[in-house]
Amino acid sequence: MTAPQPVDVKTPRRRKRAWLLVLVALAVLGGGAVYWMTNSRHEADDRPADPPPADPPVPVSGRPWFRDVTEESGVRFTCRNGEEADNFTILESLGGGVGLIDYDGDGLLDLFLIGGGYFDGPDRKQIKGHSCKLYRNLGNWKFKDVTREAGLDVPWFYTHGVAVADYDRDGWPDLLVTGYGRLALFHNEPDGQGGRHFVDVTEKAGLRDDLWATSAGWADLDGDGFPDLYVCHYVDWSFANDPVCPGYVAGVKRDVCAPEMFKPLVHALFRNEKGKTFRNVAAEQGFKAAGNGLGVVLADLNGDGRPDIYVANDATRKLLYFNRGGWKLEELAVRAGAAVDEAGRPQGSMGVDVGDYDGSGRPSLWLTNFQGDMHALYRNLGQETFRHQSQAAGIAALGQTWVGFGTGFIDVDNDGWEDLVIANGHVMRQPAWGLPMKQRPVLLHNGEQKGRRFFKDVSPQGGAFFQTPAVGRGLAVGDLDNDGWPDLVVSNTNGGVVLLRNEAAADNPASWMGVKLVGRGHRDVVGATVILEAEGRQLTRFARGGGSYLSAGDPRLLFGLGPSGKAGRVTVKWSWGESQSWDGLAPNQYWELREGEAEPRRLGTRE
Amino acid sequence: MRLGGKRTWITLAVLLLLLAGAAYWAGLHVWGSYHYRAAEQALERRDFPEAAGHLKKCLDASPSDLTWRLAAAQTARRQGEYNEALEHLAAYQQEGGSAEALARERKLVEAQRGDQALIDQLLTSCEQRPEALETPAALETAIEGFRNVLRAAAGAKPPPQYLARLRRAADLWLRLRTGPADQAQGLVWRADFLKRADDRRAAVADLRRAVELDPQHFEARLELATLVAPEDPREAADHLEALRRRHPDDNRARFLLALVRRSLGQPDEARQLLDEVLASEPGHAGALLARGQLALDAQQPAEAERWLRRAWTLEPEEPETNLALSDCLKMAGQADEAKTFEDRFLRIKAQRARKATDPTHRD
Repeated sequence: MTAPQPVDVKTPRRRKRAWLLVLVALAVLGGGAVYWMTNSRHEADDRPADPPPADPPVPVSGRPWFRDVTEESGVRFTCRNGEEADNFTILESLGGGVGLIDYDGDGLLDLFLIGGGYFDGPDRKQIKGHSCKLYRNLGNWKFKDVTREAGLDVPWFYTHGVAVADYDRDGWPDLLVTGYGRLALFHNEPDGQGGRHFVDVTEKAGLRDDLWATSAGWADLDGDGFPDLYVCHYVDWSFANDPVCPGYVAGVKRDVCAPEMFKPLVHALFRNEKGKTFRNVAAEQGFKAAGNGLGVVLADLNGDGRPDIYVANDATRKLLYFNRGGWKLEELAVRAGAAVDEAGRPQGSMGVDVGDYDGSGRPSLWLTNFQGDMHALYRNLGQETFRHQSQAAGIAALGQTWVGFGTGFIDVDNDGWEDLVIANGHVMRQPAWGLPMKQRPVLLHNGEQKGRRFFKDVSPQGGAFFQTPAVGRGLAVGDLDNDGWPDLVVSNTNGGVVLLRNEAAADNPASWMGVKLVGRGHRDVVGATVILEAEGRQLTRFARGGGSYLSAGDPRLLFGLGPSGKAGRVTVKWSWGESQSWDGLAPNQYWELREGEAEPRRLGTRE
Repeated sequence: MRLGGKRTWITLAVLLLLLAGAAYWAGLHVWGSYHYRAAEQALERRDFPEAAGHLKKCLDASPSDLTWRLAAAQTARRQGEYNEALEHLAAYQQEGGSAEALARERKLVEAQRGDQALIDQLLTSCEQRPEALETPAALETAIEGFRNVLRAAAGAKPPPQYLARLRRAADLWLRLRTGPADQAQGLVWRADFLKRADDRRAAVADLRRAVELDPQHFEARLELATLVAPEDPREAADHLEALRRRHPDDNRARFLLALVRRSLGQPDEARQLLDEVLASEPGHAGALLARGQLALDAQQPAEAERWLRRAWTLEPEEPETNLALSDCLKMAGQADEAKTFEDRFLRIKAQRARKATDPTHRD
């Protein structure tokens, strides 16, 4: 028998303690787990929001391309619209244009400025006109008011637009002024003292028009050498048809009515009867009241040598009349793809121009549009076909907040590619979307992106003017100092006319060549196409009537030659005529090319 | 006591079994409570899919829990899954849920589905008793219900006074529900009504605030991008890129971004996005049209025609498609057929213009 083993009295106590410890630990862990599971917050995926990357600002390199020289020029003028009467009429929304005209033949472009109008009388419903002004270009960016001497100190009606042409082929440019219920034609005549002045020949010429006339453009549509006249009409507004329209933003009781509140009018087409009288052939042409017309440009759009007509209508389809000769005008805007935007909507179009922006040699169409539309660039594909190209060409990147009016193709930096300029400004006093009435002008540079032409907003490069909001309307492109660099004149409603001197030459060593076309026997040259060959490139420019908005630009054609400065053959395809070429024209010079004359004439001097 | 004893082992085994049973029961409850709490938090963030997922786990653990079942029904309704909501409510009824709660919830389902009379009732009750406990749910249902009515009647313009009433409902929601997600949602609703009342500026302001409060709010950012795209396509692109990073397969953001990229003059990027949309949704008529238009921009009529004919098959009455096809065929030199589409475009536009100006017109 073995002796009993001594019992380790500490063992059961240790085990009990161990059990207890295990239980306590489990309880703590379990409790903790339960607490965590029931009380912890389930955070959302708290990845930070992706901040929108900032759009890189357009760099401004070197000096601004334009300098405002209005102050020192002596031009002090404002087109007024009469809004102070608080009538809120749609008449106030259009503003006025700018005409560039070398009326005295000194080789310098003078300025004809539209005055606009106001409302008079006890009820402030008598429509009156402010004076228009003619400023003579004295050179060196000095201008003198010569309105009285030039015979233009006349009782004016409520005016909008200006168009320039030598309607009687006497070799001197004449003036047409449009406005509410009237046209005025002023013949450029010798003043008997060695100068020139204008004589109102409206009645004599039978140029009667009692509708609301806006933009007008001249071109010889029948090949008789005398320029005919297309006049846009807007809508049937009058004080007898003047509804009160509610505002476009909450809380605004009244604002200017939209054009949709009125009926469109039949546009006028005046046939020039050998420089003596005019006859409206709109009815013969079957024109219908189909468009609220605001802009018109005439140029050879299909390369057949005849000037065609493209009309910018507000909120209705654009009109495109191809000239088939013999007074056959065929309206084919829809067929040609230039009537509506890509979505098939008619846009609110105001300003218009044509230019070869893509180096194709064909004139593409350009329109400035209303808020909510993108400005429209219709690329000319040939064979009377256009393609809405605003998106592919970068225009749409501007957004749709603009209300664009005066505009034009302009090779600002003389690189041979035509850029674009736009005067903007709303028509409503308190526009929808909370937009301001005043908008800044826009300068678009025509550059290259992935092998195609692409417009980029380079407004900061344009200088202070392009940063200053205004109610921009009329705009004319022209070389006011004959230095080969295109300048600008802009009319801001109630805000003054602005003269902008192109100083891009300072940082862009480029050459240029300017061309003035003179038709045989001073016949009209609108519809001519000029091609300049320059180092493997062909630069094509178009002689056009009308264009921009309510304005008349420089009739001469400018070719930017870039830094190389080499120019080759110049070929003119005369409208209704033959082609003619010139070789060996020196750059940095204006040349007068006369139809049928082999010898070019050197023009003017560079300031 | 001797640890090694048989009785002890049996006792321990029984105890363990009991403990295991209790632990299982407690675990289920804890598990369910955990997910219910998670669901509540997801609902605070208005993350309905996540809340629904948690509630499903709750009900897996305890299918007869009436609170969880009702919450699942409400969540399904708020998510727009009405059939699922009704299934939950049927189960709720079967388990003996409150008849009053059941009736109320069924009414909310019908209202949110777009029953105009019920929507009006809800709005009236909210207007009369803004401080009542059930007002937020009623507001949410009425607003979502009305938006469903508008979706069903695409293009219809509600009377301004009704829009104003809904805007006031959204205002009340914003006053009552102060959490960031609810605030963001309230702003999105109000922006919708403001937009429909043509107060675009105020709508954009509300959407910007909503995005600030809840940067991940899909609808807020998408709507903001849609509204600002015409004004500032670059900003729109930024918002849409942000959405696309988080929701790479969402075709709404992808398609809109493609359009914006095109308007920014970036056709390659637009083309790639449209191809992605069409890969996942070959019948996306808008993407087919845009793809065709891109080909037209590049003067590739043969390629454009392929896309545009597919778009036209889907939407033969869309004027834009007819116009694009006409342009395309002209570009391809097929003038006669182009003319048929041009005529068709003009006819459709004329019909629509007549419809818009004729007050007696009825579809």
